[in-house]
Amino acid sequence: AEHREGQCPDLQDDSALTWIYKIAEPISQAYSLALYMQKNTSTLLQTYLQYQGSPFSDPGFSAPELQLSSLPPAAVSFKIWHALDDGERLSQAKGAFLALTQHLQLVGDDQSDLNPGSPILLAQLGAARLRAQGLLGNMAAIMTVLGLPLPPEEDTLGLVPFGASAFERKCRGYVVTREYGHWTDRAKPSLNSLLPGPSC
Amino acid sequence: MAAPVPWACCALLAAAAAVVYTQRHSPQEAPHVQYERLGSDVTLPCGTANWDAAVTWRVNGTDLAPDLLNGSQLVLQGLELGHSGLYACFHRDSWHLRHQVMLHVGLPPREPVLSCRSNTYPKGFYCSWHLPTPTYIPNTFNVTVLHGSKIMVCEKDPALKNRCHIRYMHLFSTIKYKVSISVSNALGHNATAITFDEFTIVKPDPPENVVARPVPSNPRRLEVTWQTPSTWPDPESFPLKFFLRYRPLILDQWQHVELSDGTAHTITDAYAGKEYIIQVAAKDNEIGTWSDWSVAAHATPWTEEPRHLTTEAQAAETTTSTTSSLAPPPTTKICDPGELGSGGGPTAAFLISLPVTLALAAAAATVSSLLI
Repeated sequence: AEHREGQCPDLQDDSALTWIYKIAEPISQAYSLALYMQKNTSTLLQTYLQYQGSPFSDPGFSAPELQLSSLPPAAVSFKIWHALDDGERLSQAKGAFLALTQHLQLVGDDQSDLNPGSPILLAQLGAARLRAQGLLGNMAAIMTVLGLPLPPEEDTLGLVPFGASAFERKCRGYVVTREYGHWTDRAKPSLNSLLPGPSC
Repeated sequence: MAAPVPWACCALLAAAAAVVYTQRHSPQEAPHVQYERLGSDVTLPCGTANWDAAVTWRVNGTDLAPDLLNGSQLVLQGLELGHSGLYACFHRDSWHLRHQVMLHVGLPPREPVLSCRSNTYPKGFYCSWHLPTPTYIPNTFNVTVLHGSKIMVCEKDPALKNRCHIRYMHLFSTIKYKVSISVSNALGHNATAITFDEFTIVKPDPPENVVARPVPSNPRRLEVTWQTPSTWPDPESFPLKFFLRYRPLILDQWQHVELSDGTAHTITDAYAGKEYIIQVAAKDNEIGTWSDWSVAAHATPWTEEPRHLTTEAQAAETTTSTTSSLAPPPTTKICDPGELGSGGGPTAAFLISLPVTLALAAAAATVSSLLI
């Protein structure tokens, strides 16, 4: 699908104000939130890794090909990205942030168990979850106003296996905090393309 | 009639024998190609000839001095680039060609210089390479691109032979790219590699069509407009911000303005009447580095049309040649301070009855006091 520029508002009547309040405002709020979140995502990942001990806390630790089947990966080939229209991009981002809020809850629970005496880490995880939830709400509002179909919110975690080892849980937390950053990076251009272009 | 026939037979036999002889002793093969290192010494044997065979060597058709010979072998010491050429050795008496060598003097390659850049984010990037010093002989380059553990194709640039393109980047991941290049020639081999994240190599092309225009009735303003570079594939999703710099031609110091959106800006602090040079650069809002500066635009702010300067000169002539000529010459235009934009009505009547030079001075004084 050819990616189209955000539509130019018709500023001749009352619908212009409606457009500003109902559409432009939530989009730029969402964008500002994503921008703000982005400033903290690498801190969250670094803090998380520090608290997990080796090998996670080793300098330069990176396992980019490690993924969770319950969490959509942010990484996408340009070919696929380019073919998505604005609605699809937003919809995918919203789905990801729904999964992230649920996964961040799980990671918070895991870390309360694994690292009980670390208020900084737990606070950062909690804040990340709240912001993800905020962004999720913004995106849902935008999609409603734009008339895009909202998929029913589902439980993305599915059956979380009990008895996951400490190492598996640490890995899980690593993937979640890493993907939180990547999805924030991806949310911004997903929102940008909804705003009218410079030619308006 | 009997005599010519045996003569013709002899001539024919001689020719045939000559052909057979040359075929057996000098096969018309292509010259042997040889690469040697600059500064080294080389000994060229005359094909399969014995060491003590009597031969003459030539290079590119020019005879070589016999003191370079060691028996039938040619010895070249301290090879220079000028030694490159076609060397041939001939049997001294019969002058038939025994052996040919195409000698190329050069160097093994030093470590290549490799760099990659994306001016088309997120569509792709390109990598360019070159050797820091020439080798003087043909080199072949081999580029491989790895994204994590996945091999990617780097397509050769149709026009530039030291560039290739990776299309379709992988977005929003932190899997690094590793680009390796190896270079080899007949004398040696070298290689290098670089590793990077996709967002660190982003550098857009400069903004296009930078135009600067004066603003009518505004002597300190210049209006600048430009366009996002046409190579940037998706400015809606990946918007650019801009950096504008400007200075009057007569000064070296630039003024800078950073603009987070829009492709127009009005300069409001230009020096009146001075020609300005203006340039714009672009950068993705978050990632990568600034583009190079655009092609410069030139403009001079709007200035008011100059008054007729004949007034003062003619008045000077009038006052020196005549003792009393109080009326202004009919061709001059009275400089009304009101027209200079600062008002000054009461003084207008005062001006009419005075010689023009005095009137101009008074007007100037009035205007400057009003402008404080």
